[in-house]
Amino acid sequence: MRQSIDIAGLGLLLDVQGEALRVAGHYQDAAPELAIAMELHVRVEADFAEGRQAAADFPAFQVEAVSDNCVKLSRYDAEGTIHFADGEPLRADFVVAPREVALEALLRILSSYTLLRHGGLVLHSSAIGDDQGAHVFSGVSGAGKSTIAALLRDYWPVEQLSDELLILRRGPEKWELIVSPFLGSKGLAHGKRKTLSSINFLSQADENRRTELRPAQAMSAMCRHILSYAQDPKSGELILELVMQLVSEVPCYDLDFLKDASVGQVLDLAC
Amino acid sequence: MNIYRKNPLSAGRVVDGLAFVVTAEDNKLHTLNVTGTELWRLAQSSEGVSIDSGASKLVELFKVELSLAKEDVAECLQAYASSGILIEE
Repeated sequence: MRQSIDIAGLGLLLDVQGEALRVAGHYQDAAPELAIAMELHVRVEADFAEGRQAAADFPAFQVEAVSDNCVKLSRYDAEGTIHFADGEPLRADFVVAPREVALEALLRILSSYTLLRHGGLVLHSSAIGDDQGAHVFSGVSGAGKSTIAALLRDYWPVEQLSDELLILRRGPEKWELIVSPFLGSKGLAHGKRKTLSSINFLSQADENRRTELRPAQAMSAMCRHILSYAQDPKSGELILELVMQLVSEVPCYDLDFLKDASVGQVLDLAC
Repeated sequence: MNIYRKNPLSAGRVVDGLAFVVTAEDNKLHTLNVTGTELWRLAQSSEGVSIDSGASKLVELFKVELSLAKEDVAECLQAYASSGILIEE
């Protein structure tokens, strides 16, 4: 089975051999003219995970650099390599168990490697959008990413764009948020784009307070929350370069917030 | 005398006067302090950095005692070599 998918404006060729395994229905087919930026060749083996220790589904990959242009990835239900070559699509060859989450995990990691090479980052965060653009909320597990997005969606004239993972990509003139098709984002407008207005690092507190971060502070905070794999030297360079560009071009804040909808006031959302 | 150089597998950028270094082996981000950033800069030069050259730089920049600077630099360079930021020759 071969399928071309659009992930944040990049074409993914998915080639599945062996047992049937498909991506979730909310992935969108790529337009015929969209260039292929990544190829994922998968052989599905029914007994691949048998006898292997089960582990967390995301991300749970062991990554090891084989050479400057190749990394080996493994987890209990998937194993393979990703090859990088300048000017060519990234190529991933994997053997996987017949599990949708294994295929999903591969899509995420391959996308994160490919996006890096096309000016994009995958970020653990929620987000809302209004007429002006998108506000992103990132933080450690339990910081309130889903809570703040849901509160603002319910009480302010904004739409929820993400609750788990989103894609930030540098366009010709500005940074954009792109709603990712990855699992965990059900009911959202996959593929939707919004100009990025702000990035906010969350802490729950007894008052709402928003403090702009210096680039070094923002860089440190941002690097903790991007889905990144820097086991090959090129990827490390690209991550730092992109994050440095992002935090110098988009306002970043520490956002202490009360667990109610009043936080919309410090975000200057329109009523 | 041991010379320390940037690990070719590490990647770094200096922002706001602080170096951010990603080490490949463990996929970790290290934020270096002001002293560490100076040593990182020297380590990227063709000469690399030794305890003596690093300490001289700290004396020049921060007006600290040479003996104290040497202790700090030795500790710092060892730690950076252990974490994969630098390599020791």
